[in-house]
Amino acid sequence: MALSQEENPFSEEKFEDGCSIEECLGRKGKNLGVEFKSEKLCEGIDDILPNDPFDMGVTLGLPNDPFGMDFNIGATVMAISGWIEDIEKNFGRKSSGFEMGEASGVKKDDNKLFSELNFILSSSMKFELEVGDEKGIDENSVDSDMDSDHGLYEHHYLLEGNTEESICFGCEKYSISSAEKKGNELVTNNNDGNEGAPPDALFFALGYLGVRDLLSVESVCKSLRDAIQNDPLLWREIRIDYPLNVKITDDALVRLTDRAQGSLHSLNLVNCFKIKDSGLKRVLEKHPRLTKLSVPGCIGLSIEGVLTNLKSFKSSGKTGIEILRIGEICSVKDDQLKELRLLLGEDKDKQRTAHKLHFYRYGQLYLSLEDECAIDVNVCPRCQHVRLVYDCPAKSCQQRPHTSQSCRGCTFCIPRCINCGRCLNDTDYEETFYLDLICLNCWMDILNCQDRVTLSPKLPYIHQQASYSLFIYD
Amino acid sequence: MSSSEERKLILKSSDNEEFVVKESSAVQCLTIKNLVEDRCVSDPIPLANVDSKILALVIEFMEKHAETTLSNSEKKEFDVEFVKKPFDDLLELILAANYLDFRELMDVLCNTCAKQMENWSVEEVREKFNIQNDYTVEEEKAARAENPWAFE
Repeated sequence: MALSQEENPFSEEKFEDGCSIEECLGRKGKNLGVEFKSEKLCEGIDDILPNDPFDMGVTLGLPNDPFGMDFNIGATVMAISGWIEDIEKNFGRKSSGFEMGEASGVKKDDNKLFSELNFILSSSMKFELEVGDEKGIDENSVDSDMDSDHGLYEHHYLLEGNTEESICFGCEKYSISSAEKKGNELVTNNNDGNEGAPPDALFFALGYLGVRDLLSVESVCKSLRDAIQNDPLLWREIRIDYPLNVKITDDALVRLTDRAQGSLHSLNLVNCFKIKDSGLKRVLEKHPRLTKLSVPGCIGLSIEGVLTNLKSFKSSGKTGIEILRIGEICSVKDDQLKELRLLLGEDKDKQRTAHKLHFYRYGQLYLSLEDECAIDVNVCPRCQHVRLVYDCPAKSCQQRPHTSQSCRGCTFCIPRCINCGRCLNDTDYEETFYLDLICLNCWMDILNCQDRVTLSPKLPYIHQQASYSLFIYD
Repeated sequence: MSSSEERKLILKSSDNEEFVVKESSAVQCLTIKNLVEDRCVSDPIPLANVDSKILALVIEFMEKHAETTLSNSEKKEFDVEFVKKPFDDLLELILAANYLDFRELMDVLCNTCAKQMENWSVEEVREKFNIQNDYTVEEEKAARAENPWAFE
């Protein structure tokens, strides 16, 4: 499972010397290296991430064990070079996608310790949402008509991240295009000769912008501000995910939802860990027409709080919430699940026919609000705990549905590939940097992807296929 | 004539260029569909707000999406290529799609624009759309102070 925002050590905190992770990992758009305050050559693993490079008796530099894993950075670096050797041994040098380069003037070390790791990444990476998907302000829809063969490489996902968030050794398939960003063009104003005013078409596009972009665009000029702040239709469906999820508080959420002027009908808070039961209660009190509520990963909420809120919401004569997503905010007991189903007015017959297959895939781990299931969690058929339960896209597994041997269960019972979602019981797999698992087929596809383009320093625009070139200097 | 599949309409752009389209394709535009259903169709149908260049593009899109032989993924591939146009053209197409009430085209175009605009800073939006900042310094500060948490 990918690290949640809370767990991610590469947060916006600065190190004790005031150097931010971004500064330490490299400037935007340039090759990233692990940079140090001193210019001295690094000759050993211990020199790569020294805590006190100047022997000043103070702790500088990078933390020793950012993941809290009893972790030895030297061992990790050794492991990385080991992985690359394995790949080259098993699949041949060319297929690895990794190129070994030698910096001039640096001597080889027998132990293959290397003095500098260069990641050819830029500091923000984007994976583009497929055109034709719903507008950004809506929940991402799960395309349940996908074949089992379709994986991440059939779609490209727009996911924002700084490099510290998304350093991943080729676990997804992307390409880096240096020429595609059309945003560099200047636009002539087609607003009936009203110089300096925003083009009329921009107002139509507002409804397709995410919350973050709306908040940004409203600072552009007064007419856009008025359009964004005063149009409740723009705020009927609100989705908060990265990067706003780490910042939004109860007060901010209430202020934001107030813009809907009581007409909010869908609220999707993804991994918003600062939101508490009291904040959610305030939102529910002001929006009687809310019918879809999704709070996956909002670990500030409790199941008891959710139950209480839903009960009082329904009791005041409103329709109540009909669709709820609580993907693993906390452990849910059987009786609590039953009570939730009752509150949601779940129609059992409808649920059986409405159920679409839910695969474990990066970007689709949580069930969409567009799915007609009243609630996303289920009793795992294997361990009997209430969890997110996934189906298996593998053809062999799909032939035995609804049987005791069906390949359907939570990820604790059935580990799955983060790319295609297939079970990993009968196949080899690799573990990614974020501790997700990826099956060998997907891993091979990534390594053999056709377009190998080195990242352009200026345009961090990645879509569909890419490889990372890892340069190791001995 | 014969079946409705073969019925054709003539659309005339603002610069008086005429385009022949199948009625079955054209009724994806609800504006045209309403005219046809209300039997208000003159020949040709004047579209005063759409010039020939844009109308040609709209027709290209509508005919592709009206083809029943194409799968959804093939249509999506076409969409991806279709939106690879200068930003100006996309904005004009949005206005035309709105005027013609062509929902599918509107969704594709607006999603594309929204994607391109993602994470633009305030200054970038002003620069790219040539928008003048009509805030005073105090007003701009107040606007940003509305939701300071989003910009920390």
